[in-house]
Amino acid sequence: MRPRRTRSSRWSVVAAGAVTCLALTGCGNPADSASTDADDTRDVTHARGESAVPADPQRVVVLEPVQLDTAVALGVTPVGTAVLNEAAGVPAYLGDEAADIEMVGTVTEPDVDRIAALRPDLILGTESRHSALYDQLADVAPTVFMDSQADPWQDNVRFTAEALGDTDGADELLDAYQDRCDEIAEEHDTAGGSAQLVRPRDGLITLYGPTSFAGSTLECAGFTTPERAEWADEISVDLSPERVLEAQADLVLVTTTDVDDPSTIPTALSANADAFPDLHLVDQSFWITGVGPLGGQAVLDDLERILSGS
Amino acid sequence: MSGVDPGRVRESSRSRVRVVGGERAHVGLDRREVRVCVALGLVALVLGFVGLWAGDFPLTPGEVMGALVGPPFAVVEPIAYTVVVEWHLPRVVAALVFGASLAASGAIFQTVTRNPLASPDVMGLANGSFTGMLLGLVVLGGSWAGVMAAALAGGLLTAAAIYVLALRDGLRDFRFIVVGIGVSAFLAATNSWILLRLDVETALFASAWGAGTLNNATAGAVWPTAAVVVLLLLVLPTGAATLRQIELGDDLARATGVALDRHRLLLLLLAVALVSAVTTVAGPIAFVALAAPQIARRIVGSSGIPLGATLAVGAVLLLAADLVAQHVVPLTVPVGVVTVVIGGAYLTWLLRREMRTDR
Amino acid sequence: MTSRTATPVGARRRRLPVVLLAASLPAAVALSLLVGSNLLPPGEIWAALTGGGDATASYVVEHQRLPRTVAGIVVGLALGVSGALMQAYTRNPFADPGLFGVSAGASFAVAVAVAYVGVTQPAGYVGWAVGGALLASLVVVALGRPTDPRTPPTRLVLTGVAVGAVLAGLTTGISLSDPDAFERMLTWHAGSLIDRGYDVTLAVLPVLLAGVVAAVVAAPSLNAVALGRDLAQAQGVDLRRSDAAALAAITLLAAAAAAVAGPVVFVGLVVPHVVRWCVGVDQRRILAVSAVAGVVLVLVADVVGRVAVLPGEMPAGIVTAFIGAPVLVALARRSRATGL
Repeated sequence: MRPRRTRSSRWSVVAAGAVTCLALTGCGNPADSASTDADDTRDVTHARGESAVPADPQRVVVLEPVQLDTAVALGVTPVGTAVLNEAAGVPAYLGDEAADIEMVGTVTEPDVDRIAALRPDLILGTESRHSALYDQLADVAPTVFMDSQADPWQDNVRFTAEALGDTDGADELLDAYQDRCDEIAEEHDTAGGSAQLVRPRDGLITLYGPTSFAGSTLECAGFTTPERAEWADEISVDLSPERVLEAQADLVLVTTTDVDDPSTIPTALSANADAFPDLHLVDQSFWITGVGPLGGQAVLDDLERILSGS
Repeated sequence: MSGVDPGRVRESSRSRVRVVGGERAHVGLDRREVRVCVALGLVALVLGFVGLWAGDFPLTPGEVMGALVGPPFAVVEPIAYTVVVEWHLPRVVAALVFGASLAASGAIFQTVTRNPLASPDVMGLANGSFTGMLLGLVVLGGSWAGVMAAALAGGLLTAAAIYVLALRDGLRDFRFIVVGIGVSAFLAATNSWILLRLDVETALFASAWGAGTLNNATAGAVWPTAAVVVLLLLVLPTGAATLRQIELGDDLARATGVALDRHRLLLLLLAVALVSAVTTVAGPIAFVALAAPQIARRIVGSSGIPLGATLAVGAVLLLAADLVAQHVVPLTVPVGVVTVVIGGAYLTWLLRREMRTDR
Repeated sequence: MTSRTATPVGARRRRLPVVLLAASLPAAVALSLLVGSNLLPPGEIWAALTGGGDATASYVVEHQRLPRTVAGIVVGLALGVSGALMQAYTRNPFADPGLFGVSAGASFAVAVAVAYVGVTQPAGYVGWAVGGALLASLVVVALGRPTDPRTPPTRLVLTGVAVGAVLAGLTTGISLSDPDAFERMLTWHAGSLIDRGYDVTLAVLPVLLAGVVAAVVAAPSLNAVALGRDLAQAQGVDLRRSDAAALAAITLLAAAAAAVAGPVVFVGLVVPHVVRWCVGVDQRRILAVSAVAGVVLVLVADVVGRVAVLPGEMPAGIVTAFIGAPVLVALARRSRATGL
């Protein structure tokens, strides 16, 4: 008999707790809605439906690199951002102001506590990555999710700008990117030349195609990517080191974490040095992961530096 | 030799050798086990409060109490209530219930297979659910509910496949383990291959899940799963009687009239259900199932596996590991990483101490 | 047992797989030289082997296939022998040679090297992998070795699992917190021979040779030990000496394999296990046949991996599981044989 009594008293505690909870939320909700003024909001349609977001968001948290890049480019420095690599922090190419943005975990595992502590008024995320967190994030602030980081990056830039209430800003940024491409193409007469971005992956060699971020930027600057059947539906393709000669192009760019360390060139490439006369190491922190208008400009700056040097 | 099947003789003598390892379960709580359980319960209470309070959202202990029970404690703002009751509480409950669940399944597996190193991995559940999760992620993309369903299906299908492949004139633990190792290795290779084909961030996310993480233990996922696990755990005492029969060895148990294969199957099904429920939400959290029964046996100092203490050890182990993963390690790591480190270090220490006293 | 070896039918059935295996070794080597991701005609390969051939063929043969074949032989031999020793020494037919902390130690050291020291090429991993593997197994042996040599090494295996778990957890933690290290570890961890040059195999050669010598020292006492440790001592086996040799051989060979190819877990487990079903209970025989079978499995798996997903490659460690696992399951279903 004794255990049963304990059990029932425990239930009463739970019930009391539940009532208190209800009372608390009851008290909480009116105060919550009072702070949001209906006049100052816009409706944004996104991967999870439609959300009313502040017309002029002040405290934005972003969970995706392309959103961070776009927000900084638009002059809306977020109060918090998820990063790809916590040890490396916010990418250096975004500038000094971005370096002070608080990190809220990694892009794949954002920290909801830290996001709530920042008291944001708008949260941007990605359905394909943060789907499980939507309800939690929506409890903190209006939350807008783009579909997938794998969609064309310029579309994601436009989506982010729309969520931030600055659609014109996105067009300006993307036009500036296109202008810079044209400038480089003209100055260095890149038309007709081929360029291939190569990413070493422990013996294997990954080639990036024209639909990848870096590949599309090279094509934007006038280069063509050497033809492959795979480009019809792949953004990159893995190559056996036995087939390294298929990576040949007029300009070959090899990504690395340290551009000054020639030992990061894979042996398959260095053993065939004759076949790769114009080969350069480039920083993967923006060539691969710097998706966005600022990253695009950084890639183009780097490309111009390389073209001017050779 | 006529009339005696040499394979059978060798097998049963093998199992008897392994019984010496002491993989026997018992439920009857002796006094020492009760004391251990009470002590672990107190530890769980303290750690549970820490779990509700600690985090990157600044809270005072008073605010935690306010959010939990209301007056006479401070009335808290809605977001603090959300953080404590809707975010932290499900995670703490998940750690406790899931830890107990994994520990219980480990105790069942180690008893049924009479192998101190057996864990649900023998059934390929970890690798199978990871394969399911990865396929779900690749095929279904973003839908998290779909991915969880795929993980559940992957684990259960793998367990079923291993059972069917290993089934031939009864369930022999030897064949069972070999088939389990084979199927697990096949799935592990499949998983590595899928991970290598994914883009690095998706692979990173999937790998964190594959290591076992409570980051996805949100209220919506935890409450129904925890309810299922608690219901399953209520069945455990009934099954434990059969476990005691099994501990006597196949031949003896048969002689006493226990329909052994059927009971083994039912027990394994229970263990599989316990693990699958946890894995669906938290991924394959390693080592709790393997280490908790062994740790409990050594703390209690019993010859068999003490079920009550095993559940308590599992619960405390997973909760402590989750707190360390969230608040002690400077970078974001999944809880499964910490359970293996803590569990492994503790098991090493216990083994070492045991050797000293043996000397 | 005596009746079985006396039957000529049984003996013949046992000799057949050995003969087949011996014949398949040169075939596997030839396959490894002739077939690869770059589908060159055999004539060009032959020309390159004999000193001629065009630039592409000589690059493929000299820089890829020859060193890779050598690496495959080293890995297969090391895993086959250490796996057979491990299963005999622990009297556990499911023991993997990486169990005494070797695989976990190698992985941990490589993760540290990749994440914190900035090592980027497979050749740079070798020293770290060997060092980590040997250090970890020393710790395991120091902590878990039975004080009385007559007791079975169950606790040593448990200690290996426990220490291995700690190291594996740390390795996962390191790689999950650093995407670059994660990507590198993912490939390395799968176990692969891609781009393993002579520099890699040369660096592990001393470790491999020391391991083979230790295995030769340990081999004669294995049959006695397999029957039981008390019995072995009664027969006059010096258990301390044979244990030391067996442990040294297991760890050195497993470390050599891990340093070249990464922690390939399945070969060392499945090869001696399957060999035992084919050749019977003589441990020396199992040891010798496992050495050959290990090489054949690794080479064939590597060749399959080169052509399975053109123009890329599938790591050999993944292919060995795809080939070995169904074989293991099929044998388990067919065979009535159990333990050692």
